[in-house]
This record gives sequence, structure tokens and C-alpha cells, in this order.
Amino acid sequence: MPAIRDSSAVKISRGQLPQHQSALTLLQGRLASPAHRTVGWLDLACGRGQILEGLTDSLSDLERSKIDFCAYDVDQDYARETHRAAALLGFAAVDITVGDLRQFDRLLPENKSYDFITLTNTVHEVAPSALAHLLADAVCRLTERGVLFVYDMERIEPPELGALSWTGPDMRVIVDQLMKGFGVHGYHPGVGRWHHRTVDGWNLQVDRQDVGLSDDALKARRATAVSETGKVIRGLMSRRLEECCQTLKAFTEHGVETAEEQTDKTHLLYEYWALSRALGDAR
Amino acid sequence: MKVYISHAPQNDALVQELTRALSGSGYTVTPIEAGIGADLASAISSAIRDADVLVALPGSSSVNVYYEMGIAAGANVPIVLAMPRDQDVPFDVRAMPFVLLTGEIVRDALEIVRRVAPLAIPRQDPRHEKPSPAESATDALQNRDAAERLSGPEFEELVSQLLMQRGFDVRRVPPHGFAGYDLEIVKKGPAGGRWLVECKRYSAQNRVGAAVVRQLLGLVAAERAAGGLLIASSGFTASARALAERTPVDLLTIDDLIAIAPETRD
Repeated sequence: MPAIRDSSAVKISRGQLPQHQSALTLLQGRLASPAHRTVGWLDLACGRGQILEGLTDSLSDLERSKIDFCAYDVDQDYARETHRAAALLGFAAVDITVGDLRQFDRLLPENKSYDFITLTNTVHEVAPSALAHLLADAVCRLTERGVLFVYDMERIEPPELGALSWTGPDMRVIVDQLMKGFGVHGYHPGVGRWHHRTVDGWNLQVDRQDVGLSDDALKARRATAVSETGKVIRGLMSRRLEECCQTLKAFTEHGVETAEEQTDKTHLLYEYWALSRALGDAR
Repeated sequence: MKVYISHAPQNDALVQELTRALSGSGYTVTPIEAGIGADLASAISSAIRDADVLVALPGSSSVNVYYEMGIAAGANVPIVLAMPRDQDVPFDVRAMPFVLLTGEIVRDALEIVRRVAPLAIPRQDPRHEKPSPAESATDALQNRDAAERLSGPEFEELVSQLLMQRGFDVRRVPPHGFAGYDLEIVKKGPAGGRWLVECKRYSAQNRVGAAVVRQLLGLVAAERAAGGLLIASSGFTASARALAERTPVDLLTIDDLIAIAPETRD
């Protein structure tokens, strides 16, 4: 994943962010099931381990003792910090892998799959050319009843050079195409929207059980799914670049009239760069 | 009796105590209801106009509180101003009911409740009434002051009625769903097909900007709809209008919509 220098992992002490709480509620359902003696949890782009903050309040000792936790991040210092936090939580096992997000499938043990995969507050940093790959790899790494939970913001505040955030409706188009590419029909993974005080967010949940394909079938169709989804992502970016240019043109001709439009103008300039860069990479 | 508390962030602790004290005395502290895509400033304006009393707790640099007091003054909502001794009271609000804050949160909260009591009487101002269901959607939306007190879903319902009166097939979208738009209509003619309708109940002073047009464009593309229709209680910025002209999004103010003769479908 090309680095976005403006971006850094945030850690709020003793605070559970609502999106993390939502992920943990899903995890709790799995931990409560007597069918699971251990629950494999892969936290992609774990950052400084924010999702673990306050976990002792959310999950009981018994629930935590069933977790086989694997954290993955590109930053060694962050990974170490997450490891330190995880080691104190009484998990069944803790493993940390450091690497580029695009390489996670190659760097994690080949046949290891996970009951729960989280990817929070990160999609805007993922190079759009790698997004389809990342999502497809994550789906392929789910156990038979595993769940993928992805959350991100629709707009980054303050804006980060090169970061490209997606809206809930765009993400629904992307994941629908991903399923279609895998040859899955009739399953439309849930994409919800969140309203925060200053910005909206979205979450995506893919349930492997509803995908309904074997590991072999998924792997066999992965390349097609990635390629077809990549085309859709490029189409979405082209549309957004066109709208971005049209709006900037309107601002150039008419000026901005409200403080909201002033903020919008700044974000559009960042978006113009992020989209131009991403579409340039795609070419 | 509804009480709206306008406050600076530094007064959060006092607000919590005050909310408890007011609730314990039988008052309803008006919540701000602004969902996804809603305009927070308009939601605040609507809540203030709907309140029976506004309690203002300005901080040292909280211009928003004075702005909200202005809305209350304009809507004839009584105001109780509460400030600490070391803070200057602007000359133009010095004659308002006032509580000097001591810093003892429980005591201050109780004192404010005591000051609220004589002011919290049902207002006789006919403009305070919401449009009755019996009123036509046109009448209800033409009464700007009352229309500003409508909730989002109430506003959407009236817009939906206006569209139906103009011959459109209208489908409501569940209010708390994911859709991101409020209504769907079917248009005939060259640009016919399924159109997504987004309703914006903004305060009269506010303008709907280009970002809202772009959001609707994104939905139109994602939903593979024929176009989008943005209907606002206020006006649009020039940039929003310019952007819409180049895209399959139409902009209508409530006045524009009312001006369309009933049964004109396309």
C-alpha cells in the first residue's frame, strides 16, 4: 500500500469507538456460540490497537480466553504497541505480522483462515488499485461461518493528501460486483451508514456462510472477481473525478457562498489529487 | 413544556446536571434530531422554534450560543441567560432573565430551573402551531414559520403529497433505512424512468450547496436511476445550480414545486 504520510493511527485511551463496539458485538456473538472453542480474529491494519481499548469492559475473561488474535500492520512500532496491549488481555493466542496490507494474504500462514476479520478506519488509505484484491483476499480467508467487518468514514477530517474515502452507496456497488465476480448471485452483503457528529461513515459486513462457495471455488474465481471489481472501482473513480471537476468549475465561476462550500472546496482539491493519482496508477 | 439548552462545550457538566434537574421537574429537554445527511443548523433552528424556553449558557468564545439566542428572540421563545461572574454580558442581552453561575453545578442547575418556571407557559402565538394534518400540503409549506418546525419525515410527507397532487407515482423510502434519499418517483417523457428525490428542510437563511447535489448524483449512479430531484425548503447556492445544470439532477424550491400546476407530470 503506498504510504499516505498525512495519515497516522489514532489511539484514544479508555474509549471504545462506536464502530469498534459494533465489531465487538459481532465478535461476541461468535464467542458465545458453544460451536466455537476458539475464535480466530484477524485485525487488518490494526494501527495502535484502538479496537482493543476497553475490551476488558466489553468481553468477559471467558470470552477473551477463546480469542486467537492476529494483528497485521505495516508499521512495526504500531504492531509492537498492539502486541503489548493484546498480551495483557488473556487471549488464547496472540500473533502479530508486519507487512504491507496488499501482501497480507502472502505473509500470513497459507492455510490459516479466520472466524472474524476486521478492517476499520483504513479503506481510505488503500490504493484503489489494490482495494478489490484486499477485499477478495479477506473473503477468501474467512472460515465457513466467518464474518468480514469493514468500517470507514465517508470523508476524512482533516483531509489527507492521497487518501480516497468511499461512500456507503459506492461501497455497496463495489461489494455487489465483488460477489458477482465470485459468481455469487442473490447475496448482497449489508452496507450500513453511520452518522457521527461531524462526518458520516459506513460499514460493510460479508458473511462467508451466505457467500455459499467452497474455498476452492472462491480461489478459482478470485482473479475474475478482482479484475471485474477493479473495473467497477475505476468506473466509480472516473465518475467522481468528473463530478469533482464540474463542482470545482462551478466554484471557480460562482465562488463559494457558505462555510460548508468552503470546506467542500478544500476537500474537492484533495479529492482531485487523490483521484488523478489513483487513475494515473491504474493507467 | 420543552426547554432547549444552548451551550458552549465548556458547560457540558452543567448541562448534564441541568438536564437531570429539568427532567425531574417535568420539563422535556429538546433533543437535536439530525440524521445522515441532515442539516444540523436547520435541526437546531427547528428545535429552538419548537421550544417553550431557551436556556443559554455561553462560554468565553461561543458565538453559536448568541446566534441561537437570536433565533429564539426572533421566534418569541423566552430566554434565560446564565453566565459566571468573570464573563462579560453583552449590553444587548443585559435585560434578559439572568442567572449568575457560581460554579457549584447542582446549585446552579436548580437556580436555572427556578428561573425557567415562570417563563414556561404555553405560547398563544398562532405561528407556534404546526400545520394540522387537515391543512393542504401547499398551505402547510407556504407557512414558512410553521414549516420550519416540521420534522424531517413530516416535511418529506408534505412534499410527497405535493408530488402526488402533480400526478407523480411516489414511493416513500423507510425513514431510517440506508437509501440516502427520501422518495422515488416515476417520470415520463424523454428523461423518464425512476427518479430519486431528496428533500432538504433547511432554515430560510441557509442555502443548499454543491456537495448535496454531488451526493445525490452519487446515489443516482449507484442506483442506476434516471435522475435525481432535490427539493429544498430554502434556496440553493449558485454553484449548486450550475452543477445541477450539467447533470441529471433537478433542483426545486418548495415555491417552484407549488408553482407547478397539479397533474403536470413531466
